[in-house]
Amino acid sequence: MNLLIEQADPPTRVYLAVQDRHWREHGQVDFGTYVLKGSLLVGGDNPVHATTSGTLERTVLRPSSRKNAEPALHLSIRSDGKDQWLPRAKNLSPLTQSAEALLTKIATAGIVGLGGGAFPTATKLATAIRHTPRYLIVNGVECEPGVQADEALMHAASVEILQGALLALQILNLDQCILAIGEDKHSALEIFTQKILQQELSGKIQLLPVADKFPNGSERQLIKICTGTALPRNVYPAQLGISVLNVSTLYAIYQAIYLDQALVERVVTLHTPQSAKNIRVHIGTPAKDLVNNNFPSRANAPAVSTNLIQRGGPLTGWIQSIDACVEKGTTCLQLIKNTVPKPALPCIRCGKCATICPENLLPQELYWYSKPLNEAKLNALKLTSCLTCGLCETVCPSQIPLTNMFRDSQTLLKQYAAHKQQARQVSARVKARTVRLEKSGQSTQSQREKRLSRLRQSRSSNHEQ
Amino acid sequence: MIYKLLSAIGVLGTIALFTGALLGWLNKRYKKQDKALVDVIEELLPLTQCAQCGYPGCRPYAQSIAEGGAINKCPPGGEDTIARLANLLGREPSTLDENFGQHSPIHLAVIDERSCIGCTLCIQVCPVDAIVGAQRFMHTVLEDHCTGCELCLEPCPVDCISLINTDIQRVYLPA
Repeated sequence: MNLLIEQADPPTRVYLAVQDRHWREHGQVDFGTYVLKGSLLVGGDNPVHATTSGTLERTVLRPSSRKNAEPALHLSIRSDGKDQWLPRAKNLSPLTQSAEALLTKIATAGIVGLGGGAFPTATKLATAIRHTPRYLIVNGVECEPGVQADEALMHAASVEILQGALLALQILNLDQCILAIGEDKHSALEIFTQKILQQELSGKIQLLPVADKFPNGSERQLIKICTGTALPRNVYPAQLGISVLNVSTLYAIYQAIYLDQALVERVVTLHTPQSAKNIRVHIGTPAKDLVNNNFPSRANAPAVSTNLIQRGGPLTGWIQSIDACVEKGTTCLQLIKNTVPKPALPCIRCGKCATICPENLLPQELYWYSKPLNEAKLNALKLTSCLTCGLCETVCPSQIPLTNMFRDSQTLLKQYAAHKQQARQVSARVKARTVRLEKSGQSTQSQREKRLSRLRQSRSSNHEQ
Repeated sequence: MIYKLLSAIGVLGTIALFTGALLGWLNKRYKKQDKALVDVIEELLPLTQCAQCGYPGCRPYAQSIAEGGAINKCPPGGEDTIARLANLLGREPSTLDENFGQHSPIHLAVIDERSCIGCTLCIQVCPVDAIVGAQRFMHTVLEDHCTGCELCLEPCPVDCISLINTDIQRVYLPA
């Protein structure tokens, strides 16, 4: 696969997922009006920007690309094909701005972790600042086979990525950061070595080749490689002052701060069984349109509707509906053949999964307690630490679909925890109300008695007179 | 000879007494406290506090179940809750007693703020204090705290409270 990035044409319609429940209050959504690329549609914590110019049509329910997700609310924009940008500010001087100003800019540009996690970057950095920043690690490892979106971006935009890294350093008030790049990405390593020398950044940016082994590009694994110590379970990196940012996130930060551009496009690796390429796609492009536009010969084949699209790489990815759209966290889309998976055989307790688990969990035990779900045991076995990286499923000789099972169990555990929280809350409120009512009832009672006794007294004194 | 025998018995006896006392104390000190049955039952209920069961809230209903009362009086919980309760208590699952109401999905109460006259009647009946407002001022429902018990509908003199469907699904704990 070559590392050129093709620019995708705007699709006829883009569909932008709205996560904010109160989007009508935060939004400047005026249906039927013409919007320009980059204009803010919904504000708040999860901002939504128009990713192409056109008419804002309506809200639609479409399948979201998340695993097991119900149809989600999307705003649809009918593109006019011109892809015209909103007027952007010029002559920005970020080096003199404060960290808060830069963070606000990152938040309003809607930047999230583009390595796939899609966690708001400004929140991540702000948490690290609160806990005293110690390390900044730039993640260019991209260890999953077949995904090359980050590698292609590192080729095309090395200078911009370095500028983004310098901005992140400025925000975190750190002197040095680690730029971790997978060993297999020879040309990217070469380019960055040259650029760091040319710009005399070797004091600030330390290049670290990382072994090409899955899942070294995962946040927790990379921290272990770079700092030498493993993160304790249930501790977020930001709580220890460690920030891990993907190269494409840094590129987005560069665009937001130097060019005043919101996050409206991202690089996606698109695979079909025959070929693959890297495309810069408008966020919100339906997967079907993307496949049809880029592989027109396949579009006419009737097979396209029966094929499935997988979001993410071969190990961590999952099957999604072909009607789902490219989201901010979509790194890769694969068109795969609709084959019936081999039936799972019983677990023979060989223990292969336990030896390969990068988080030192016991997948065979987790499997045992996942059906039927045993909440206490799964919590004791630290199911929440599971990265759902898919290695256990890959080595399993019985072809048990472990990753899906663990992902489902994780969601259920979260829901149970939420229910318990809610139960505690409701009980506390009911109890508080009962106590309050009793108290106020008593006080009115005693007031009434006092008044009555006073009345009797006055009456009796009247009688005496 | 007899001296050696006595000393051995003495030493071992002291050790036995000492360890026995220690173990007894530790058992008392760190005894695993089981959750009260009422608490376990309450967690399985949908906790709407709607009082359709005839008890003033979910806690009293849980209390009555713990004391051997019927388990099929909770319309918001439906068959699902009955099955879980039956599983927990080792009783026969029965069908929902329709005298107490029909099972329906859980809603969210919403006040039409234009027609609210500020009478505070709904505030007084809300079992979870999820309505805020003051006399002759508009009231509103706190979405996060509303359990959808429908108790506020009846006292409203201008019928400005309606129920809407929520996308929030109630999750029950595994029994």
